[in-house]
Amino acid sequence: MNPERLDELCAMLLEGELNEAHSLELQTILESSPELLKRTADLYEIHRSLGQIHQPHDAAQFAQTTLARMHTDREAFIGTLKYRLREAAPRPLKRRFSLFKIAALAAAMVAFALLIYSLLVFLDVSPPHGVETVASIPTQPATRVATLVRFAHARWEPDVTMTAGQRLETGPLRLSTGEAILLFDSGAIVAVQAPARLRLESRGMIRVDQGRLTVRAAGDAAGFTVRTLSGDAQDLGTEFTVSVQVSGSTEVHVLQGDVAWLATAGATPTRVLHAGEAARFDSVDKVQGHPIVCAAQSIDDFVRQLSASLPPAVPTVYEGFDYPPGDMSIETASGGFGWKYPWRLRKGDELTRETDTSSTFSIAPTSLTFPFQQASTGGALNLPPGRSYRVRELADPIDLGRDAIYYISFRVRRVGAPPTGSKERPYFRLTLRNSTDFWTHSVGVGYPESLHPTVLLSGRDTFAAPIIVEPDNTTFWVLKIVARRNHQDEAYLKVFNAGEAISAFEPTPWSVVTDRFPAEGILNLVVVTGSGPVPHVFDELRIGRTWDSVVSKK
Amino acid sequence: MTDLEAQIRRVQAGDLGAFDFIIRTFEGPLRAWTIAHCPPGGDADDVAQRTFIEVFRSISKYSPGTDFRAWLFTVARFQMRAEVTRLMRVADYHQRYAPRAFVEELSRRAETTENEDHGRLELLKLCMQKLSEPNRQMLAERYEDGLPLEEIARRAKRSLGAIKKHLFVLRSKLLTCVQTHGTGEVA
Repeated sequence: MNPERLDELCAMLLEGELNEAHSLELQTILESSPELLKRTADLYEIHRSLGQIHQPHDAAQFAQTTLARMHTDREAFIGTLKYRLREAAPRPLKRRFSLFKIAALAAAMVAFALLIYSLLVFLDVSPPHGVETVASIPTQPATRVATLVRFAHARWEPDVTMTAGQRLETGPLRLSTGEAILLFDSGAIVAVQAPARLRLESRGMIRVDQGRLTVRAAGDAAGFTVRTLSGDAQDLGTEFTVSVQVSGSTEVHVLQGDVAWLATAGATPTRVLHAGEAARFDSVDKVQGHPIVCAAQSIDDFVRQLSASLPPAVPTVYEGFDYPPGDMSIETASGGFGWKYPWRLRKGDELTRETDTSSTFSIAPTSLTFPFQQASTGGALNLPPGRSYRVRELADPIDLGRDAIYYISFRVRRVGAPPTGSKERPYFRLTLRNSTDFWTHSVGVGYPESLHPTVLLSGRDTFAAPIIVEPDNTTFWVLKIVARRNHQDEAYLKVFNAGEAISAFEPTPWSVVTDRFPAEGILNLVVVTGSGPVPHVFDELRIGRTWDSVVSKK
Repeated sequence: MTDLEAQIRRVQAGDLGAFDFIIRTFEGPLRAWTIAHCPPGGDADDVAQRTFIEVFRSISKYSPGTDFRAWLFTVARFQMRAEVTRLMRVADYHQRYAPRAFVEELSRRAETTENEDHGRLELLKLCMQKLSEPNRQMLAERYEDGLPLEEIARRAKRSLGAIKKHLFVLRSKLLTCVQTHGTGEVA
């Protein structure tokens, strides 16, 4: 075997760049030679150790977080018992009990919990991590209500792999380490710090059994509610932090606006906290709470810190059309990265009766600019009047048969309006297809004459947006494809017209959301099509695995 | 009775605070071991923390006077196995991260390798000192700053392929240096 090829594959392994074909190739090589297997593992250990040497590590903090996890491990068990006892008790507690009796009962409960825990530790029985503390609450069938937009150092319980952009259903969500940001479909942004035991109740409500979270619920998200054991914190158009201990003791810190505290769900607020105020509520009986010092981190600070701990968001595929202006031979257009070959025209089975009216690769002298994105260099692709199909193969295809999320973004501009009486209709499309089975599976977006942006699925289904694209302006498009191995896929499209700010996170709502559709294709071709009586200009094509990697915000 | 044994007895008596001493004593060698042996996509620090948590839970099983370090690494091997199992449950793990033969080799090493990784880490630091400044700078950009290779290539005014190859050569030289106990030439 070629030693250089092994080195190349080994380098890909270390850099995390292996695709399925590479992995199989490397597997074959490593199986054939124990020596090469040993060397590859040796190099991996060096690679990992270099990471350890270069990455800052705070031994004291490691010890502190380990102890905190152990403490949480123990507290979670006690908290679960207390919660179950509380749920079993009539609520609210009748006043016929004297305070002394209540205190004695509480003390007995805690003592009982500690006794049981000590017994389990002695018998070496692990605390029940998986116990669902809110299982008794009747809920609607699971529906998707939020999106996990960003996270760092996150570990979920039970152990699952979560992906930025993943849709979240109603139900429990447990973060044992790290931080995460959730975007509810109501528009509320929720920043979560571990350890946290949550339950997503609806688009406008989250339940917190333990943990610290900060909520920003502006505009339509007003009324967002954080439900705790001690009561509900209901947003009145604001930003606030809620911290819940396993005992149920809850702190509310208001950063902006007002927050209503409801001791009982649906009841009249017992207290309204204003900006700069904070209170601790130890139980449903302490409806006014105890005043405490307001100390909370804003969502913006949280996002800034979390983002700083993440690697730079870069696309896996990019084409900025950084070519000399004017016409060029299409086979020499090989710029950008993440591509297998240069641009080309359609060929073989890909051809239809609608032939290209232009075969040159025409580059505009300046890039399309969008106000809220970083300026780009180079030019843009001209798609002249007539019919132009431009095709390029991806190095790493979009696989609809695995659990993955892909984002595809680009800028496009339709230049001018069709002449009066023109029979030709303007139409721009970007379609993802397969090179060996061009016509079966596809996912694409369209900019038709109606100006309503559309998502196109395998030539069968079309989903149109209620908004319209502003003609003669540069617009910015983002297509999100949620591919699932064992379930149906979904696609989302957002079109930003000129002057529309690009959101820090994924938009709520998207311009188009498709129904769930069955798809298993490998999409390794990008097909850009411009047709009709007016030219289109296309630029800044990006494909990535996160929103941040494709939006290139200023 | 050693300091360690005294602290272990305090933990066995229910003193959670005394466990801080144990974590600080073994955190270095344990993390060196978990980081070196954790497969791609795994969380080495989580394995280390889970090891400590499991040791705490099972502390009553430890017999004073026996080799605590060896016991801790035995627990770590169990936790590493659990991590590998978790990774295997991830759909298409092998396609996305690493060939099966490679992951199995890492698991085999985790089962058999003595805990000498901390010493090897010091040796690697020594070997890094032998690198030229530009080479150390490139490693820092890759491992400390976490820059994408494209950005490293742009800064170095070299092609992406050249940077990948150069980094691979650097790792190979460092490996030779470590294997020859710091005597290998790496400049």
